[in-house]
Amino acid sequence: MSNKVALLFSKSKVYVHPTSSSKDNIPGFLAIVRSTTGSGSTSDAILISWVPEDSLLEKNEVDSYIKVDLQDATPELGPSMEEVLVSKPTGHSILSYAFSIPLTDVYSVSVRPPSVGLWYGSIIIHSKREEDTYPALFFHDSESKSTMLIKRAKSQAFEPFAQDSSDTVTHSFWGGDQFLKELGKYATIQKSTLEPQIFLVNPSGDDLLSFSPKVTEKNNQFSFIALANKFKWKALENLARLTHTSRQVALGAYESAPESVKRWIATPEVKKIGDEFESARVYLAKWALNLAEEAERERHRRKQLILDDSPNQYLESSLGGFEIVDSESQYRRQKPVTNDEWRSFFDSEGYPKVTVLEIKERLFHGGLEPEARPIAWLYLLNVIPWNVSNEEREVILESKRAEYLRLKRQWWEDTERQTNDFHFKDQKSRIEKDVQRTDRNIEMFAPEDYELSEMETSLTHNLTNAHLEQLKALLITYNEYNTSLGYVQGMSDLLAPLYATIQDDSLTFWAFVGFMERMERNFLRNQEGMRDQLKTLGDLVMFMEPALFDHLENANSTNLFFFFRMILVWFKREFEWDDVLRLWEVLWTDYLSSQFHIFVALAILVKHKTVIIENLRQFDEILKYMNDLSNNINLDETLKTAESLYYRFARTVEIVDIQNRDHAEAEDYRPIEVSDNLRSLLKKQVITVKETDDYRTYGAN
Amino acid sequence: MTTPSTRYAQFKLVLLGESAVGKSSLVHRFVKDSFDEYRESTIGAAFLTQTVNVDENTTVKFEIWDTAGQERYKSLAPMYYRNANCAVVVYDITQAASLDRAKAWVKELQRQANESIVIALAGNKLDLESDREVDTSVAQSYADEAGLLFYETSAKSGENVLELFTGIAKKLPIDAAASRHRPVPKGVDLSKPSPSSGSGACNC
Repeated sequence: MSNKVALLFSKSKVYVHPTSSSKDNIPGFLAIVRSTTGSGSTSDAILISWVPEDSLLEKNEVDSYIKVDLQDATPELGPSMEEVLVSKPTGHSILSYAFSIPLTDVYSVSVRPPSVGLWYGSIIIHSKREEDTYPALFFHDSESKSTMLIKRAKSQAFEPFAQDSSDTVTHSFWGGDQFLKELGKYATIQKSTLEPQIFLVNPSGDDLLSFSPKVTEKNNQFSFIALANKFKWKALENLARLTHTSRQVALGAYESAPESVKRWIATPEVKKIGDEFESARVYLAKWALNLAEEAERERHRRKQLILDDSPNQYLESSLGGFEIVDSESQYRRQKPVTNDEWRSFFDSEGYPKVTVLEIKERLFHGGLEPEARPIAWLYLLNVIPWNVSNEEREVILESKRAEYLRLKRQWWEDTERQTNDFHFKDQKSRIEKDVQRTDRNIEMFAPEDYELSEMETSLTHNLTNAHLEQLKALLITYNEYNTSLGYVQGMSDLLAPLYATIQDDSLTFWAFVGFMERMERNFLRNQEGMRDQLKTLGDLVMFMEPALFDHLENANSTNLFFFFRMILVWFKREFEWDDVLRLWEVLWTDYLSSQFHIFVALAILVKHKTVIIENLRQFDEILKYMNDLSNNINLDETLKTAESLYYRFARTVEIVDIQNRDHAEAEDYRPIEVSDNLRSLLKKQVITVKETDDYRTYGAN
Repeated sequence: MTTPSTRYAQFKLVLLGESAVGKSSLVHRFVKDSFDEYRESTIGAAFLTQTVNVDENTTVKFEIWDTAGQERYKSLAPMYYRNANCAVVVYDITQAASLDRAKAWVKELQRQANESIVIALAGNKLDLESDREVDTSVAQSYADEAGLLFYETSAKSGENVLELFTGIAKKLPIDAAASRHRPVPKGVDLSKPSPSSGSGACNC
């Protein structure tokens, strides 16, 4: 029995990354075992081991490791009485990366938790024997069932209805935590104050005094930190390369088109067209985009074929394959949430069964089926709080309905104001004019079956319908409800989809109030909120796409004013109706950022980047080109790009921060600035800015 | 090479005026010869181009900036009119108040825009004659007094639309512009702060 050991702790999906390519990653188990022949509870019999999955398959021991792994994750099943015995893990093997080290030989553990910049948390075990080095172990938490179970249990226990900054909840627990905690049962673990990422194991008195690892003394101090840095930088480099390469590959598809376009533009025939018709460059730019899209489709088709045939062949191709596979599988869109699935989020009493973050994650990636929207939108727009029972929900809805009717009656029944209040009449006529021309191509708003009596209005010469009249009443009520802001052009575009979806005018009003809470900053009198967002987008372009920014600078276009309409009404005019509904519900989740619309804007810009750089040289050309994209943008693709851009941005910020911190003391180092505007993009908290002055003091507007 | 008798010039034109008087509809009638009863409101600005033949040998190309009408977006207008060679200020003949707004725009243009700017006043919705609130003579005498071209138009029927733009073209310094060869289109100049912007106005 001497080759059998008791498996005390096991963690699945702990990888060794031998090279920078993910195809080389080796999955395995990190284990703590006790030698049964040793003196039992003393630490010299305890071993820390990393065992590749492959080697366990040969010995048929995978199940034992998984069993122990899941024990910690399912405390409700109670502790296992019986010790699980497995064969003794092999010692240090260069070939398989497997290792096994007696706890008494462990000097320290370097720990790097996962963060936005580092996808996987990792640890390195340092031996007292300097000649023994062990590979970094990466915890692929999302693949490890036990880690996910614990993580989920924790996030439910701590902050069941977290809506904001929930990332701290989800990121707080990872596999490495659990390992350290477990290790603490068999040894004293002391965090180093010098290098907070290093945990000393059974430190000696001297070590505690200096509070730093022995090897950091004298000359070794530098090399040790250098080693830690090297490990860190390797990971960072991988990430940076990953994002860089995938971008290059994506752009590679354009390569052939712009050249031919350039030649085209140079020909006298085209020059002539350019003079006599509307900007030929805009026309040619569109044409170039078509070519590029075709090339992209072709590339995708080819890749699909290769993938179907042999994944490895593709992965090993010179295309830099794994980055693409990684990025595309990472950002896949999901099926919309049906009514049944929506109901499954809640228990029979009406309380959510899963965390709000989980619901939002699902909605962010899939959106909703039309059938689920009327109720789900009320949650997303804060009409119904997430954590209420069925009864409470009904009470809330009833009181909201009554409150709307009360607000509406206030002006509706005030004939004095209706006839004599100049500002009221002025705003009312503005609203009527705008509603009259809002989404009339939508079935509900199209008919002209309702003729106004002379009493009701003399302003609209057109026939109207009952739904348009409801929209008008809603906007007039909002104008009265938020007197400092009042009605501003563009709001009717925001209201119509809510009304058509929720189909209950009172509840639509409160949903609109909820939507306007975050949209108010778009409509401020001094345009500050719009200017701020355009500035943020500009900063983002400069940060992420410097070459494009340079071009925009040369074209006097860094104000990005051609995004004004897109940002003001959240792309309402750029997408078809159904896509607008989908986009908005995705944006309302604030799942990654409360300003995800800025990444959507960047995604649209990046998609047309090459075309813009190659063909458009003036602000008016770019504005015309961007305006003409209307109804010609693929939503799913845009959302996927936007998500990947978000992650790339978040990682870049993290890398910049680490770099700035690490080089803070170097003399000639100039830190890279990340503006507050850019940092605000990482926040989930909705930004609200209120109009401060009463609109009526400004007269007609 | 073009024959000496052929003249060609391009000019920037900006449309201003109260919300819903028909600015976009006028442009679409002019550029695309189409009309949409329920054309959506303009958000931000739109850019379109169209050429007119002033006479047999003369072609003028307009680069048209169509703007949002609501006063709330007023602080953005200087971006568009700053380099404009000509402007169409539109009002609605069935809305007396819209002429007041038009007058305010004219005043602002005369104060802030290019000195040599050619301004036309357009009373739109001529097809709604029965609802008329602004007499032709009233608008005409204001236009004369302020030195504006004046047309009553209907974007819906197309009446007087081409006349309006051709009339402007005839007033523009074609020879001066054409003598500079075919001018390279100059973008809206966004580098300078807007002249009318107060402390909080957008100069983005």
